[in-house]
Amino acid sequence: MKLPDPYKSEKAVKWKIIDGNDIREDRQLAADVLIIGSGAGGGLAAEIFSRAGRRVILIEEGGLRTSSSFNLNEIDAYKELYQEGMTRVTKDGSISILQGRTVGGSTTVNWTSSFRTPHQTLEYWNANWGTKSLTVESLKPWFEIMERRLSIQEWPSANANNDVIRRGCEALALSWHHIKRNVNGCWNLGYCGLGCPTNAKQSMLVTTIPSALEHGAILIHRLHARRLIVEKNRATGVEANVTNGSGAIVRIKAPIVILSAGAIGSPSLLLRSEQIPNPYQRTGKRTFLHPSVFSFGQMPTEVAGYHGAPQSIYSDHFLWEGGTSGPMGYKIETVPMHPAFASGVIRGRSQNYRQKMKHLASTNGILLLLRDGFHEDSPGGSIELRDDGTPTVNYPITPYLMDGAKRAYLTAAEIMFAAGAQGIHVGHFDSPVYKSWNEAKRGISELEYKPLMLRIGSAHVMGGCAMGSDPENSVVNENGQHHQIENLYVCDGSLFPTSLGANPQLSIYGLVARITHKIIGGDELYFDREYLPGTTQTKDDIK
Amino acid sequence: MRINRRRLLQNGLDQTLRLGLVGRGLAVTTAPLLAVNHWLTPSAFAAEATLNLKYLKPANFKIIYAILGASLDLRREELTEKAKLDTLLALDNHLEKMAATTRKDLKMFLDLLDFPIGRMFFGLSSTWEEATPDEMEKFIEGLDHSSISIKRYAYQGLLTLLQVAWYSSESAARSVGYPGPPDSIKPYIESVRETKP
Repeated sequence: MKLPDPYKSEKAVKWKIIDGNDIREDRQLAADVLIIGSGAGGGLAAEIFSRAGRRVILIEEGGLRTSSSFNLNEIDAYKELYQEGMTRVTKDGSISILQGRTVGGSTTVNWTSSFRTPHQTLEYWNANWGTKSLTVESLKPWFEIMERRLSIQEWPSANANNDVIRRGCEALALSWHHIKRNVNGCWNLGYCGLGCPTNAKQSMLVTTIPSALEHGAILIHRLHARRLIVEKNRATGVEANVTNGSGAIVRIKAPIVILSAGAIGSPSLLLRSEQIPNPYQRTGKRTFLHPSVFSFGQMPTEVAGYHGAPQSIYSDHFLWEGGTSGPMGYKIETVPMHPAFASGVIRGRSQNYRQKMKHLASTNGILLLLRDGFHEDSPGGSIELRDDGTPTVNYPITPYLMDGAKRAYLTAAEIMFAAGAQGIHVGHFDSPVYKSWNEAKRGISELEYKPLMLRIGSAHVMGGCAMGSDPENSVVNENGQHHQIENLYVCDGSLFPTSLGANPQLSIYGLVARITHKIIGGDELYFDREYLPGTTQTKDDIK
Repeated sequence: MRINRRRLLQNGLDQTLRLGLVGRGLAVTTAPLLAVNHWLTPSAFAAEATLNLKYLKPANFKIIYAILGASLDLRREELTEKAKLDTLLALDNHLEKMAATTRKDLKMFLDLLDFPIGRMFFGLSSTWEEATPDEMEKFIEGLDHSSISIKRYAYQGLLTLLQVAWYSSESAARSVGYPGPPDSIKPYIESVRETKP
């Protein structure tokens, strides 16, 4: 059985793709625009600049893995497609971090959920970071364009895993909604996190990056950006390492440098680049993670939470309940239940753990995504460099966060029992299987909330290069432009001054589309029109 | 004063490691003539040698198997040779990709557990071969709920890796009802089975 792989198509023969492992001697390259990182921000920026006629070089530290190698094996995928083989954790080991490390970045392995930036978040940024031009209205046309470009639309069906949220919320009169997904011709397999074998997921790997390559962009993968080169207060390029042991260094010069290495990669590259000014020590500060905790419901019938679109129903009922700056709010989504992944988020050991795993096929998984960064007791973390220059996230666990985790567990338990669960357990090492809502309510309240006892995960790293009007509390302005280096732009999730309260990919797309078009100037929109049927076509239409 | 966890861990483990080296000779002379857990003895590790592991070494195997068996409450018949080898291979794959400092911490933990003083520091006085199920339970209980966060960090980190490694094998996944990918995509998987991403 063959499925089309764009990178093995006839068109791809003329694409300029270089594997860093093939470079064994120092090289000097030049471009009009250098883009570091090929995820949601960099992949999109590559399309826009190359369609605008700019010579683009796009570099990516991960490898080029495409659909014809996505074999739906968990361990193979985690090892090859994720940062640190999916073992990345915060400095004290408390929070596991899932991030893509492959061409397309996290968009190659995310679960496709797409949300516009919540208005509460934009209003909070506006009030506290002076991002006056970023409003629901000003961003709306950019989100509309990106939704068309990436086929982002509501997913009408829900697998049994997601349907638990719907049924539970309905029984408890809580609000719930369908999730929009960036898919086109989705087979509803459920393996988005392992790389989409059918290319239905409209990740950067199969949309904007092929488009950029068609327009002459050069992609160099397995190339690690070591430091930015600065001359006369301008970023003039990057010095990058290959990882084949040859020691070869690649220097790429460009008058415009776009930093899109993600909210760990981008701040850490700035920190390694000692010539980049950091006068107020804001670089790599206020890193947010949407710390997420997990709950599991044992249902009377099969759930098969590993099959079907991973996320299709959500509830924001408790996300803003206590006000933007009140107690930590949480978004309710599902977590897919592939066995190796589930074995890491389900907690416990020995008989207790085995019994939980034994019910995998009939277990519903709920993920509670905590909104961090909106309260003084939620200052987030910071990016630190280890002795070898690699980054780590120092993210202290605060009582404020643990309070949110406890309330989130309770909500999930109530939803699951309302949806018919026969027993539930939460992602805490000491959680037994609670057999009733009353038992769960008492038991969850009595658990000990200390680091390492709860499984806390993050698939959304944000912040570290916050945008804002005041250089004293931000790194770039609201156009992504570095406060001190005018030809250096940040185009990824590190822009966010707080977390979002929503899965971040669409927020990144919208902001980066806006930033890159501002850099280019003029009135044109630089997207392939075939992807934009019936939409606005010039910047005049969206101003 | 803020405690630097990594430094504390490294200093503590380094010191224990040094003490462990000193105590090693004693351990050898008092080793039991007949190991209770015979399947943990190095002579049984011929198959493991064929795996060509990059990071795990023979001294680690018995410790990994003992902790895996106790932590997952595995019956002897579940710990088939294939299951053990699959788990070691998956764990070694994890080690290959993880951050160098994390790998160093984990390796140090495993290495320490190979020395009597290290084992005792973490709460096990019997050898791995002699430890009874009750002793293993007490040892693990002392780690996973330790008031010393370093002990929790070391054990919980290893436990998660072992759990993921165990359930990544086809047999363990099937034992909990996972049928593999949907039928519609199976012919495709067959066609790329030998291709890793």
